[in-house]
Amino acid sequence: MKRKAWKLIAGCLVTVMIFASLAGCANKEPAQTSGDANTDAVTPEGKDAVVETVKGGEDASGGTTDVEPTGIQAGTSFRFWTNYDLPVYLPWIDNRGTALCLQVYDNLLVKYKGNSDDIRCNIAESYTISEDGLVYDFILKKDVYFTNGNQVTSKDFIATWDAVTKYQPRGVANVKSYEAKGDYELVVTLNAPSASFLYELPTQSVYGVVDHTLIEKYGMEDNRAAVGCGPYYIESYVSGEKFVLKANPNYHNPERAPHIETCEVVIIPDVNTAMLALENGEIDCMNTVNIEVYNTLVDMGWDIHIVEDRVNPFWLNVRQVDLFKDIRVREALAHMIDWQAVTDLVYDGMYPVAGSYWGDGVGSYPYSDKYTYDPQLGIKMLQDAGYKLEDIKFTILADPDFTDMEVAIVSQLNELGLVNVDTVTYDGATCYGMLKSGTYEVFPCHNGYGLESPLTPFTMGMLENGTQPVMFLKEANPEAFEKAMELYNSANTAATWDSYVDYVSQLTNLVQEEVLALGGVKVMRFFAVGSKYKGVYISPISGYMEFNHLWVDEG
Amino acid sequence: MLKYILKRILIVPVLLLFVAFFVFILLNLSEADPVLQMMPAEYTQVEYDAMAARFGLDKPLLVQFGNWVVNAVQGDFGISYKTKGPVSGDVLYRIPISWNLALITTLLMIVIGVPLGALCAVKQYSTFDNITNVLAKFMGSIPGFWLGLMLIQVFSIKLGWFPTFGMKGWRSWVLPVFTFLLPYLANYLRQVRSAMLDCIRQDYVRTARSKGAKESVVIYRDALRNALLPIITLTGGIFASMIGGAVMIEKVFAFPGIGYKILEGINNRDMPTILACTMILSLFTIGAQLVIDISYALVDPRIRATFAGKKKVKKLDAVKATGGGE
Amino acid sequence: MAKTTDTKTTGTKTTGTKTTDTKTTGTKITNTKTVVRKKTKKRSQAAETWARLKTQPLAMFSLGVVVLLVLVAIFADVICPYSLAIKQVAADKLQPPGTPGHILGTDNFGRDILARIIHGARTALEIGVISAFLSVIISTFLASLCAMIGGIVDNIIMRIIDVISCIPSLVLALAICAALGNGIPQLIVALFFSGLPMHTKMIRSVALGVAKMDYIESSVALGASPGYIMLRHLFPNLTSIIIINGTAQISMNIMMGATLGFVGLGVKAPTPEWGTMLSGGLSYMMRNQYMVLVPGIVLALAALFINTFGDCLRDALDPKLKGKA
Repeated sequence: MKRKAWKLIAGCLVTVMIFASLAGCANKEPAQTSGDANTDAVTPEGKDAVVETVKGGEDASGGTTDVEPTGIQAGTSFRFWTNYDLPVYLPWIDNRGTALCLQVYDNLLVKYKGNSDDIRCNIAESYTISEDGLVYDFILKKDVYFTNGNQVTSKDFIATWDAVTKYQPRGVANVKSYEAKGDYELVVTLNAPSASFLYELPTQSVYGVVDHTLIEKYGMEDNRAAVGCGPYYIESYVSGEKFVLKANPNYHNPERAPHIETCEVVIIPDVNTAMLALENGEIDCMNTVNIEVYNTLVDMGWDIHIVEDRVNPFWLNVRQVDLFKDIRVREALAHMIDWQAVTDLVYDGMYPVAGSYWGDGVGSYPYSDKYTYDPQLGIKMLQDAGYKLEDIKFTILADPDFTDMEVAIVSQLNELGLVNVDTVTYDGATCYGMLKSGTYEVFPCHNGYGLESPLTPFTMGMLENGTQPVMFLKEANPEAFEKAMELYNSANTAATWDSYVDYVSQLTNLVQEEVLALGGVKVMRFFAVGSKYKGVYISPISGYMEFNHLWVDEG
Repeated sequence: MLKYILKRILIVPVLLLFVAFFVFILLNLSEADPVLQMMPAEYTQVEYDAMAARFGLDKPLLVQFGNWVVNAVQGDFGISYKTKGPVSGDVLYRIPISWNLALITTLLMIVIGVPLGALCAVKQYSTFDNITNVLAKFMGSIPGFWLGLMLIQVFSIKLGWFPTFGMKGWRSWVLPVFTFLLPYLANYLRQVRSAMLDCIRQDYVRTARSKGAKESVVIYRDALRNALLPIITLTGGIFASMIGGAVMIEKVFAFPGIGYKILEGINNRDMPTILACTMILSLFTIGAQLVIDISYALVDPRIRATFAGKKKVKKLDAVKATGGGE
Repeated sequence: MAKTTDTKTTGTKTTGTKTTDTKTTGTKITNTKTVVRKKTKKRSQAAETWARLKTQPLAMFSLGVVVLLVLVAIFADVICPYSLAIKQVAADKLQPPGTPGHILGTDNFGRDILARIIHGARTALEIGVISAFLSVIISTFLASLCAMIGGIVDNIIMRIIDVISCIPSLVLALAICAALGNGIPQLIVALFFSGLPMHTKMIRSVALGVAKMDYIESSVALGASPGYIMLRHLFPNLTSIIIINGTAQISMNIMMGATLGFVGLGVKAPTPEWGTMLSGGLSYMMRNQYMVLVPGIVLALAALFINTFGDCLRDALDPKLKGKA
């Protein structure tokens, strides 16, 4: 009896070992560390391309000189990964699906290859702007057809904009009126001159044009109305599984004509599964902000395209947290976080330390010395202001993507003696909800696309009714707020791009001087794309990949 | 008997109503304001009110709940806060996937679990029994999401036998079903074993043995057949819980089932989706329970008696009284 | 081996067994009575259980592991300071197991994995034990109320339990966590609720059987208060099922806590917890597989031995199942 039982225990231990080794042998032989991944920046044409490529492994293919083919390459396909479903894919309903909307819907103008400063005509043949900067007159091309065969006319734009006004009023906040002059002319009148209007207009997710007959037939919330005139059309959608996009053979704009015949947008909720699927050749592209996934992909030999994403400063809730009403506390805290150490620890130094609230893009302004790392100065400032270190008590709200960063920061502050600082992770959507209802103390938040439309951060963060009310300048310093609002309004009505940008940078500086947030790092997004795919263009900040420029190198 | 079945069926909507209420209240404990979550960057109070009115969120909680019930009865589970699309179609589409996953897993569980469990019971305390027992316990102790990813690494990446994710023919089902099966099988095996043990010890089995019947005949004719009833009950319950229990499996293997939908709903604080999914899962649980109870009642004379006419009950009581009062 | 004399010690099982008992011959009934007498002597039952346990090496081994686990959890701070489990050292990042100073290696923050496992044992047991204890105790109380008072109280309690049990337990736990947020107390509440219906149903069925026993009926007839009967007669007869359910629930809760950690509804970030260690390490599974293997194996082994011990305990407490066929 006894011997049998001991055998059993031994047996069960053996089972454990078998399992351990099974799991162990699932892994490849320890590959080289990421250190010997040679970084060479390949700059695609275009002045502002921020895409950088890291060649993984040894098979760094020499730069091929093949040129972009013309026409659709029959039989080619591309499978793109996304981690969420998009049950309603009309452009104005859910703007998470912009990568998809960019392909399916088309617009008057386009940011060519994702470059903000290369805006070209698309459906518009030409346009004129009145001298006061208020009236935009667009002449439409006469040979543009929806994928169901109907011709694109100004009526479609009117119907689309009606829908946008209803669902995304922010997008048309500055638009006073829009009207059709005949079938091929569209007149848009603004409330105030706006330098940024032309830059926001090519946002497909908001303005992508949809067949008006279908909107009239099915309403503004029905997928049956989701017919655009983009480079691709949706052939099929299986809920929770994938979208199948087919190249539009009659696409009107040769500059953006699609090459790959079939593009699939594959939905895999778990990033680890996606990584394995990529390795197994079941998807052709994945993107991540996770440094370990990046390291693994480099080890596997993938070419990684590195794209700049947004800066996430850690906003302090000045409105509701009494502690943060004191600028000395805010300033002291800004001195106490070593961002370089954070990025070294958590991101292998890949995420650069932010130089301002919006990175170093358009409209930014470098941090003053209020943000330099000097922990002892920070402690001294706190003590001078009459605070004990234990009094500094707050919780940092974390999004799962950035939990690691928060944990690192909390650990730094705890070590400096701020033992009552901690962090809690919620799902991204919850964080967003808490942000809007103001129930947070500190939260890292990107506040929109600084580079693309520099004023957006202020619209979202500073105004009373902004989506992400985090810049509580009004509560922090009413005088500064008044000044800021003046600058904001001046920027909004600036007639030229240069003066617009100038106002925005002044505004940035003003907000930064009040230390409403703690530094932050710039997030990088890593795209692994199969090496046979050429023509990879990913727009910086927003991180959208345009499938229509992709083509397969058969060689 | 008919009265019993009728009573059990009539109670289903009531139960569902209470489940809905319970979940509704639970979800409203969360601080986040759903209207704010849906609002665009800049909005006015008028726009806020309009959005609240569109989703019926401007009314008191109880009225909201009442409206939801009225619509749900008509098959309309409302509009998702996240996707702004109707919930019903999206959720209903996912039922067959979860259903099939549960069904295949259950069938496999029966095919493997019943013979193995019976064998373990027959050979109680043999090496075979003990090893199976330890193995089963060990399998039951591995978290499903971990096992799933490990299996993908071995069988998809290393060996290339099965796809890593999604639904691409029968091969896609192998790994999820296996991952899903293991922990359930582990428990099932042990429960079948103890059900068999109970039967093996019964008098009629001993009688059959003492009459000199062959051991195999005794086991399969007398013991197993009698153990079937508890085993069927067990299986029914497990099947019902499986439909909603595949959350992690569906997440890891990217199966668009109802379990993952509910997780998505919870992550997005998308109340209409959560409510709709919970109601459907509860309906399955209740349905399975109902089928089990009714079939039990049909088979078990004691339960049948409780719901027979009053006269019969009295008679039975009398019998019991004389029988039990020695 | 098979047909030894069968000391049939039925007695306090289910209603089903009870009815068969009343219908069987006189000798059986006397048997039952002796058992009842035995059960009233508490010491002897405990001693008997212990004696039975002692003969099983597997039981003793798993008991040893469980005791070790409990000791580690209690004396975690003595074994290694908590700061070691949360201290981040960039230089020591991702050291493989076997590195001097870090027997099990370090994680992506350079935190010692062994220290995190040790302090994680405390978190795991805290979550597993408290929630299991709560759900078993409260369900025992509810079940006793049902059994002793019956009628409308029984009806109300059981209908509420029915409603909760309609929701699959994982979904219920997810919903509660989502509503209450992250953290150990919230996790305990979620696990408590998800375990409650099953236990109440099981314990009630046993309690109903016990409540119909002759000696309880006679003490009711003698005018004893329900509270007294509950404490004196009902609870002692429920101890075995309480212990059996409780141990099973502990390992289930540890596993479910890990699962909730996987979807980001677990404990707060720096707190060491096996499930979150496991799910946090998943993206490291290709390059630093020990980050998922170590917590995974520890978690599985802990659950395995708690389960095994629970089973042995059940066999020892309820010798009927152990009777040899």
